[in-house]
Amino acid sequence: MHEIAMVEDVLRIVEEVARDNGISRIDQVNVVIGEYLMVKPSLFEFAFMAAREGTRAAGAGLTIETEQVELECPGCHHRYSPRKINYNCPRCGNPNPLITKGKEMFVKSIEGDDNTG
Amino acid sequence: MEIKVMKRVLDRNRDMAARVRDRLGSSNVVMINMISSPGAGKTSLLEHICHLLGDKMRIAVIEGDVATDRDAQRIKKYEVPIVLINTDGGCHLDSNSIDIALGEFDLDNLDVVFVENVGNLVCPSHFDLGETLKLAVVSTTEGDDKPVKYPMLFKEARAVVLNKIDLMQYTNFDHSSFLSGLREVNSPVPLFEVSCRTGEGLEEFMEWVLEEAGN
Repeated sequence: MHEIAMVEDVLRIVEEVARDNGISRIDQVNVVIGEYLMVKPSLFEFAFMAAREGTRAAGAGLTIETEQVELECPGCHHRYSPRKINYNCPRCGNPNPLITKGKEMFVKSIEGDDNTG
Repeated sequence: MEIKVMKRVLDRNRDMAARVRDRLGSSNVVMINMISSPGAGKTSLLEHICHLLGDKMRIAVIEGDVATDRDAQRIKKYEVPIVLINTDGGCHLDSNSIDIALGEFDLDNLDVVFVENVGNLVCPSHFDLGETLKLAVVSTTEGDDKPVKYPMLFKEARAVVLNKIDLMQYTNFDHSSFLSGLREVNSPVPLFEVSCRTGEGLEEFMEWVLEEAGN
């Protein structure tokens, strides 16, 4: 259900960007969701479709790109992708790697025009 | 026309969490965000904490509850400052409600604030409250697969409490499978096996709480 809070924030961001760029109708919203967040794209999309009503993105499509988790070992500086849920460094066994990618969710871009029609 | 945006979602929650962290830091207060599924024993654990540590450190409690004040009522008898946040159906607490709740406390006269999050293993993990650490609470009656099913919480937890160990023999909870799952997700995390009903294992856990609270 927290997908609703995320989607509301996505819509707040895209509304702001559209307003600043003179876009009255958003056709497409492109978001990137880090794998670490374990957000189910279908639930996110469902929440988006419900929440977009009454905004400039009311008719917008949504694409969700999943960003894979990338890790860096603070001990031996090995960079690697985890195998499933075990994040331990495969080289030295360090259990506390830094998550360098795949932990964030962000709005990548929007597409639209200033045609109110 | 395509416009590059590259803006992080939930940044406002993150910014407010940073503010909460600053407030706590300047008053030297530790905040512990307790996360579990409904019925795992967060409130029972809090009752023991208030009872056993109430004279060793200055405790305050923020109770996150979907609709009732039942948990808050249970804590009230320990005479610690308490703020109830009803989320009205919401599945998690956010940093803004914590910031408002902290306004009710005299932070300079506190050592630890315990936040009892809404019972849920998924959503609360996504919302940084500005806490010093997350404490995951899980119980034997929920099954042994929780760490591997909800890895985000168990990766971020500074410690894990396994409650209801007195009931283990009556369930199909597989202790070794739980342990190997937890170690796969977070190999160094301290695990405290307790029973809030019989009191077993609580002493060791309380020592950990005191240590984390800086006493």
